[in-house]
Amino acid sequence: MALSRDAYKALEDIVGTDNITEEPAVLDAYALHWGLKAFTGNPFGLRHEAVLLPASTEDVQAIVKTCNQHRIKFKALSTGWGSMNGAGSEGVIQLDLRRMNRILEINEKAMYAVVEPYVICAQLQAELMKKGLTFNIISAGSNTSALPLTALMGSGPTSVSTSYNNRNILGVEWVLPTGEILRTGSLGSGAGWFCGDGPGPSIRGVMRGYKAPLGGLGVFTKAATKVYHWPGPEVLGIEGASPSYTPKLPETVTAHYITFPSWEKFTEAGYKIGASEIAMACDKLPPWMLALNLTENGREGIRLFSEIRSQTIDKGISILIILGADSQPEFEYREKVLRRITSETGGEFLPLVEDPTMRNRLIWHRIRATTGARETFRLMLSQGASFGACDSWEFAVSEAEEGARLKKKYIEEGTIIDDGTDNAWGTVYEYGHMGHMDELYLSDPSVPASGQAAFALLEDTMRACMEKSLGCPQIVMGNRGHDVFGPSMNNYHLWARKLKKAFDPNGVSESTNYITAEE
Amino acid sequence: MTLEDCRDDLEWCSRCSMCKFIPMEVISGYDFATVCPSIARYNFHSYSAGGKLNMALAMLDGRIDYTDKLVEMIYQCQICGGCDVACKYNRDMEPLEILYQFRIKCVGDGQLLPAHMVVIDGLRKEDNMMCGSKSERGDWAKGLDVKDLTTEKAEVYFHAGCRYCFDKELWPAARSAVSLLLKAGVDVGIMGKDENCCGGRSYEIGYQGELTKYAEHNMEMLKVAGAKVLVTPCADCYHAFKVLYHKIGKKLDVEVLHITEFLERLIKEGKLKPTQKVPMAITYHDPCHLGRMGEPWIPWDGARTRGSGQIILHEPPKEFRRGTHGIYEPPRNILKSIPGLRLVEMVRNRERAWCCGAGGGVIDAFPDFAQWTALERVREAKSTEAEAIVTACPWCKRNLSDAVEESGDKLRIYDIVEILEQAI
Repeated sequence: MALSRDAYKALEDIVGTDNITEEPAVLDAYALHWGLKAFTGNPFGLRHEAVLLPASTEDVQAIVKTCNQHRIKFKALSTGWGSMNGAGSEGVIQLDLRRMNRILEINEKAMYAVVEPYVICAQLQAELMKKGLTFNIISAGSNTSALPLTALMGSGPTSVSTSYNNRNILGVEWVLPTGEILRTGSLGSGAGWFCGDGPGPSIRGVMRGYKAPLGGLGVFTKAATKVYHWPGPEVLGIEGASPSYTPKLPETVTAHYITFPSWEKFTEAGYKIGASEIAMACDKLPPWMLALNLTENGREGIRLFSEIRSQTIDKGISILIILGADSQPEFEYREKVLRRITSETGGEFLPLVEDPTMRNRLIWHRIRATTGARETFRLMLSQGASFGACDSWEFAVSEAEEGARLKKKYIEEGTIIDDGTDNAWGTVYEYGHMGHMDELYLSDPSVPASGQAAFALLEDTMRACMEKSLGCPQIVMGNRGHDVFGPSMNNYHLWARKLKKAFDPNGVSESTNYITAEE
Repeated sequence: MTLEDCRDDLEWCSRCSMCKFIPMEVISGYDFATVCPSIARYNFHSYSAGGKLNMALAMLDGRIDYTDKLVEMIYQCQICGGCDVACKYNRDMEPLEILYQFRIKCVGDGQLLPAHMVVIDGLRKEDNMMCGSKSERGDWAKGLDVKDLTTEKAEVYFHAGCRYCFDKELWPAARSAVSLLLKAGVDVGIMGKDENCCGGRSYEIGYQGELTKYAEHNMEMLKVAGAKVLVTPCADCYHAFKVLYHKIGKKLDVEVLHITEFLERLIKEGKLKPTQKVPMAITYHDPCHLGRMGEPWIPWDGARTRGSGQIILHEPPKEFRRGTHGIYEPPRNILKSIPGLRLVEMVRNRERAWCCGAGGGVIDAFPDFAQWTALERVREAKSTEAEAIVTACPWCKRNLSDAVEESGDKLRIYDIVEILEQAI
């Protein structure tokens, strides 16, 4: 179904000839997403009718109004990593927001930064560090959008000290599916970007809720994110060349990779480290990811994994703690507290990460979140992630424990990668009792047995969520998933559907991966 | 190798967009974070390496056919290798090879750009990429007291390259290079009008047969000349002689050095002594073909296999060229040896350098894009407060000089030999 010439002309008039295309090759470049192969056997999803490159909120608003007028569905993306960024139904135009790429403000006093959708996390963090600040970079990596509205859950390696995106969102400029512009939080009453909840409309729960709406509720064109203190240098001195840079860090920034003898002790340590407010990162980086993170190629990663296995997986459950302080006495205090908690909970430091070069590399990899693709795709075609509830730390750990148990049989039959079963990534949130955990598993959908195993494991984890009350998995997207989980969770799906209907009366904001108005 | 042979990698791209930026670890601000001129200029994902991989897969799967726009997109790219380094920061795959193979397929399928056809016609008739007359190739060296290797023997063969031979404004740099070698007592000779193209640029446009032809010719020529060392001041030629010839199984039986490597050696040995002050703040522009693409070719003949648990492995183990071992320090060491000269680095240096814009046939087919890319480099250089950009490739010098001239900027552009000559 091609766009009518009238509609195309109207859209072209908004963005200009150079910023709209129906070229099949371009459309296919946008239609391909690695994740689709795992679900459909074909990496190409549906082709969009056209791709547009708006440059401003005004452009987006005009496009959305035109879509309403012509009943065309639209789907916006920022950096576009993941199959949820593409059209899930026919007759959709794609808005690539990459020309909306400005950092609009960094407010050191009120501790926020305002960005457009195509500022990537690395850019924003680098600018923040020059002012002694940092922010929450999502675990996917600093190659993703810094807008706190794009990721599924929005948690990252430093979330213990930089929170997660549900709570980092402050003022937002939002082009609704009708084309109206809504400014939320303090921005809505003209008071600036500093608060997400008012004075002015606070609809954070509607706007982002448990997960981001994945393009199903209009287009977020600007947003403020909360920023946090950075105790390191303004600009890191970095030596060497890719892929093994060696950053220079002050002596008041360090890391330890600690293995605890049981899930119970691991949980206890997480609570204590969180409550003590000593950590910049309380980052459950599993040994598999650690090994891939610190090596230059996949084969080396496997070698290192087998080398550290006896010191980590065979001994218990591991976590990476990054400490940072503004002064030597403060640093010593933090270090002392960590050592005491480690001792009380039977933890052991991994010698590999005590090496200064390895340690500094690891710290920078995690604070900048540079190696997401290295830890997941370097040795495998597809990565799955299950569980992922945002709940108490203990609850999050129980998801990881269940994930490791469920994975075992698939690893033993050789259909998914042997990551030692514990390949759950997670974090304590906000120095507190909350936490996040998702179980990662690596498979190859081009090998039928492997693809089938990945699906079976996903189903196992979904079933476990229902039967063992392990929360709503982050992977639940679209009507089918919400209709399964909604009845067990206060019928949230009925409310979400009503909201969708109210916000998008013409159904133009493509929402296959969110929820549609139709039951 | 064909595009079809790259299918595994085509399906392995995870669309992470790393290919659009310098490695995340070294992003030090909002500005100068991107590495790919093509996506930076044209914006649609299809212009990035990842997007080109997607389009290549679509073509192999029969989803798309050639259109003028598709061919244009394939060629609106300098093949500068920035994406390759950025991707391989995390991944064990070969995006740059796919970009080559996509172009080779275009040429094989008769999908040619008129501007490139003119250049290739010139190459076939006159053995150069500048549409110059073969008989005038040696004119740049008139009056130099240097051996003629067509009649004499010498230890070192100095290969000027097409750009230096036919771009009159650049002749002083090529002449300076030879003068410095002679001053250091090097037994050096040139081929004059009998010098031939290296074939590298034509390969990058997709004409792989031309590379083979010139590799064979140059191998034979070197054998007859009896030289033991090939030195070139052109980064493109250096890359062809050192990397591409090896890649196609025509590794030269001589030592291949870029002029910066050779001059650094001569300075270390005390045969050249930079003693004159050159009081200037300069920034060094790493030519792509000397820097990240200048690291040695690593032969590998194997396949991707599945290990335990479906892990993807290369058998036998493959060592990837990630830009780690490019020629970065020799030019910097030369500059550091010059009294009074202050070297200030741009954000995008060494393996993450921004391209000058000339490469991959862009200067011939899309001169506006070449200039746009060069202007972005000039903007970066100016942010360092340097008075001049020093580079080590005639293509870079030409394109950057044109950009500066067009913009009316006062920034000066030098080849590194010109600066060294001032100091000696």
